[in-house]
Amino acid sequence: MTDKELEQALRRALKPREPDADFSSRVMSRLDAQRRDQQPLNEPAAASFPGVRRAGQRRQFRRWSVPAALAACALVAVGLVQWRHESAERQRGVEARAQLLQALSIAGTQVNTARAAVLREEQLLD
Amino acid sequence: MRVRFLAVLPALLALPLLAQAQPGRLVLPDFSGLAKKATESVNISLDPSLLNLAGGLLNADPSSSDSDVKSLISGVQGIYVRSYTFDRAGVYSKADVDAVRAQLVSPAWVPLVSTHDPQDDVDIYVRRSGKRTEGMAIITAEPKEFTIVNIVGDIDLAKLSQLQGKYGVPKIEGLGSLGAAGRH
Repeated sequence: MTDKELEQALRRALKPREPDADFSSRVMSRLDAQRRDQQPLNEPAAASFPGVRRAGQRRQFRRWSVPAALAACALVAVGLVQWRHESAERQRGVEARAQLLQALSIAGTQVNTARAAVLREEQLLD
Repeated sequence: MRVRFLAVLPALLALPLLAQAQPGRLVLPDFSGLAKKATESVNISLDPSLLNLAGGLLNADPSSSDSDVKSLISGVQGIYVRSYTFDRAGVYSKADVDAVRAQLVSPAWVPLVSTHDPQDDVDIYVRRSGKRTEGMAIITAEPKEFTIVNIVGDIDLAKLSQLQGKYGVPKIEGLGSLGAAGRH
């Protein structure tokens, strides 16, 4: 094919064409339908427009971001309170254990002191 | 002030009821005045919940020394200790200790050991109900110190005595088995 033939073929292929008579009405009705629908992501029509889908995702994100952040904060707060409660309880346990050992140590010492006193008395009587 | 007193009143009224709820428990006087004068003081109150908490932190492994303590306190519901040491004799009055001794009346409380000499008074009382031990009281009074131990529930004196040499319990030479003691 020569350059001229190629040019002519391109001209034929790219020849401007008038749109159909109902083209404008079809576009307008599609836009109307899109406006009526506030959730274009769920609609097949909206899904075909990437820009609209991104806008929907942004709206969706804005709608859920605050409750999600609040829920996350609540979870963290509950976890923190639980952790503090558990560490305080453990601290109480450690202190109670130390007190228990000290109390048993004192009681054991007193019992042995009493036994020693009794033995002393018995030796004196013998 | 009056409102505060009224708020505290039910708790004060409940004290004797609490003491009755645990038959082996003594009502220990408030020694806070003496604590200020003492060179050393110990005030331990381990109620059932604290004992439970402490027991939970004791190692249950039989090879561990904690297991002795765990088995020792298995029947215990409370341990209350008041111990005061002073730098000179005569700081505390005999009446302070006698207030506790007055609660140790028969037939509920039975003296197990009672030795009295000018330097040293030692009393061990046990409260029994049938074959069940409900409590024990140990009172030692010396001129410069006194100690009151009240153990609520069942505790094995022989095992308690075997703690000597462990947990800071001094080892007293010449002490045989516990069967040798127990006279009054």
